[in-house]
Amino acid sequence: MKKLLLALPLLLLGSSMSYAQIVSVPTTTLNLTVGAESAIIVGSTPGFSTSTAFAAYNTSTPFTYYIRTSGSGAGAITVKFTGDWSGTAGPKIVGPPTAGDYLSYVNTVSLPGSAGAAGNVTALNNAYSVASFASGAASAIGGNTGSVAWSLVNDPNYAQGSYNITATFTISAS
Amino acid sequence: MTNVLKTAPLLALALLLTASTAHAQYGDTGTTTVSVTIGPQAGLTITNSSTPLTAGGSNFNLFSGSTGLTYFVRTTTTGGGGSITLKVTSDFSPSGGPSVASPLTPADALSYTCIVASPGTACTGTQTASTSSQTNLASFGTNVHTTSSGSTASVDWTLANDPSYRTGTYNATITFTISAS
Repeated sequence: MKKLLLALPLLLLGSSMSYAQIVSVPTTTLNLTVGAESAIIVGSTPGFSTSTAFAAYNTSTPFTYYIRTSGSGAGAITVKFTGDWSGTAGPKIVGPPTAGDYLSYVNTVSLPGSAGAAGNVTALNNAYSVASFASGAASAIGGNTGSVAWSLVNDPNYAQGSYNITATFTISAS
Repeated sequence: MTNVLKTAPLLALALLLTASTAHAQYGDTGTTTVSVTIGPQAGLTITNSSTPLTAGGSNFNLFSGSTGLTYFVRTTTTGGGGSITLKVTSDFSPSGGPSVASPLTPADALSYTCIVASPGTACTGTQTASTSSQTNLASFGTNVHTTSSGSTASVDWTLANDPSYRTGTYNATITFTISAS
């Protein structure tokens, strides 16, 4: 009985210390999965201008791209035209006034991109290569830049007026 | 032998009566002093032992995630205090991805904000996690107590989605420490 009475205070003390047992392993693991991603910001395109009479109209579209490709992946930037020039008597991709009235382009892309070959826009809804990216490519955190220089034949057959066309840029990564 | 059998029950009864009488010799009541010493204590549990960092919305959005915890604390009545801190005890691995110790750019730091229920006081503003030092999550004043079910806190993590990170899965371990005095 005496031993029991002596043990009682110890038991009570033990219960007051039981909060320490609440502590579990106080760690957490941050899990992060990084996948292939890409994004592009296309800047505004100034109106076409020409330096001399009937010289080609020229302008340029700048862009900033962000990309991360996987170790076995790749990436690309393309541009396409889903609709033709506005108006009826001006430049046309399909059925121009004169054969050879092309809208042509020249690509410039900073690393890690590789510029696509220059060419002529001859069809709607065709994805023309602007840049390509190899596996394991990564842009800077602030992005990298590129541009497409456009040139349009200044055909005297174009009626006076203003004409517009929308170019759609697409970037992809795998 | 017959006499032994007859007298045995009587003898047993006599012994029992004697034993009960013996107790009476200690008195009808007894006292003891029960004492307990309550000291400052602290403990915590992590709600989610694994914290996924995900990037929602458009490409290259920030990675973010949240770690919840329940804490228990008692600080002394005068001059006491306490804190919850955290430290990156294992940096992101494998290599090629984010790094707390050696981020690719200053913008690639692992940062966090704190949400702490009373009686704790949350860290102020955005903190930068470290592999070399403890960084603050919460602080406690003197003579504060949680309830027996504890109080909650959470850490909201943010990590830049640097295109330079190689694709893959990366893990880092965060260790939380709570103290009270």
